[in-house]
Amino acid sequence: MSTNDSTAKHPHALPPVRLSGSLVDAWSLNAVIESKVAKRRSDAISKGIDYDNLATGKFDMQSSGRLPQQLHEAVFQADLLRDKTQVQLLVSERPLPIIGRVVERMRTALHQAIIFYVNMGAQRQAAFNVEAAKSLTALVQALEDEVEHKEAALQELRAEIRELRGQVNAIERKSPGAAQDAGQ
Amino acid sequence: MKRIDQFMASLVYGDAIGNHAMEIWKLQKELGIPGSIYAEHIDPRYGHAAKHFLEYSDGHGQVALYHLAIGSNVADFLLKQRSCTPAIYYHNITPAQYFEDININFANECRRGREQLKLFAHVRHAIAASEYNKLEMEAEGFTDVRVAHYSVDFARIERGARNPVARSIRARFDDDRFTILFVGRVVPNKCQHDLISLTQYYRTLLDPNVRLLLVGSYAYSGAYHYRLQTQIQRQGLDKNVEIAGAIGTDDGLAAVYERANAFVCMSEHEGFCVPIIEAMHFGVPVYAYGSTGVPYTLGDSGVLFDEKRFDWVAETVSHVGGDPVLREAIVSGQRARLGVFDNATTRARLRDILLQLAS
Repeated sequence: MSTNDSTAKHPHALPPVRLSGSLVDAWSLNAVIESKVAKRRSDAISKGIDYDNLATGKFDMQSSGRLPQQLHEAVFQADLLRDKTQVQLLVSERPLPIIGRVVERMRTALHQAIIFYVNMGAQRQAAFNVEAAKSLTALVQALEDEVEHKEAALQELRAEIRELRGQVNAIERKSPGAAQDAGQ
Repeated sequence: MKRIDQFMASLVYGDAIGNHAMEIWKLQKELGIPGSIYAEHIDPRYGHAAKHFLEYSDGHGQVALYHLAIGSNVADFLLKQRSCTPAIYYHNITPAQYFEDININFANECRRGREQLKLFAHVRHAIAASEYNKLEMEAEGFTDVRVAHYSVDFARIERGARNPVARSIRARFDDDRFTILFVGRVVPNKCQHDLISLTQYYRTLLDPNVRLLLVGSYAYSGAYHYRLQTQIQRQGLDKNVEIAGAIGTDDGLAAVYERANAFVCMSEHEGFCVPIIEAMHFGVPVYAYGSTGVPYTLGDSGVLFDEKRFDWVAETVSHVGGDPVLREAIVSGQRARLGVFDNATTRARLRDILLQLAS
């Protein structure tokens, strides 16, 4: 937090929102916001809302997605670039007197001929890339779903084990003799 | 007059650096300073103005103005040129850490960019796109850095407001839902995930119909975009958050600013943040996390917060939204601040620098 002219008058409590400019009374606005926040907090808590998590809680970005992000990024970039295989004409002007234009025309024609054949190959490559990128995207999505599904199943199994352990413990507490027998 | 050729890694249509390079190119024409733009990757829409950097032939008395925003082969190429006078325009580089887990190639390019910045520290002409960038340059050993802000072409944005895309955007959002806007690339350092968390607070406790509109290209990070979609899904915000993708300056960007009730920026790394200026121009109150270059751009206007407390930010946005007098006071402050960045001021500054470079 930092101070400005208006907060400097009240050094004992620095507000999280800093309003600058002579047109706005930053201090009184912060006081209004502070009271609103306090009221909202107590209302929310009375309704059973996890206010503190809403107010300051950061979304766990690491938990969004089961596969490494590098993989998602690589597939995304491959998808973006799939049809960017064609090249364009790039012929710069040459400041040559009199023959400059002729040289430029000849160079342009030569470049165009090369580009024509290069782009024929590039078009075929782009068609392949489109299919490859589609397959990769589908594969990653399927893998992501699969991992998520397995994790959910694992969670269920863990919960079941916890419950069963609880039941076993309860039985053991009720009949210590039985547990001793089982132990033998 | 000397030639001034501009160089950059990529000349991208519609981004801040691309727009700025084109602005410089036009200004050079007006001033009679010859020059071209050279880049490794060129958007076809800029094909008339730019050439591949390997087409450049070094010459005595020429100035090579390099726009640095990421590591590139263009920088290595320029560092090897012997005859021309190098100059640098620093637009800032995102710290690599934000891309470490997502896109290692991009993270490496960011690191390479920082290394290349140091290699240019000896140049005589150093320009920073913001006061914050100037501080970073000085920390790397640059001396005598001049600041030349971006020149935002509001007339161009407003022309775009009349095109069919703008009309369709208006039709799409033709309702009275409170709309929070952020414009910027969908990348981890811009923290769109925090805006989604803010929306969750707003939706749960303030207004179930609130809308978060995220405008910006997600081509830079598919994995982060995927994370955001997962977050939206898990927090049940499908009806409250819209990731609209990129909307170009000429393609109705004005319509989203016209529609916005608040512009909120949670970004943790900005060299300048042009969308803040655009929001100011359209009279949208700006609320921003005071990181890196943001406080320098906002100056004494808008609302800055130093902590990402979603409750405080959401309550402030809601309170200001419901108080026309307070809202107008904030917007007036922003309007006054806009004077620093208006076209006439920024162009005059840029003109002086170009004339000095070319003399």
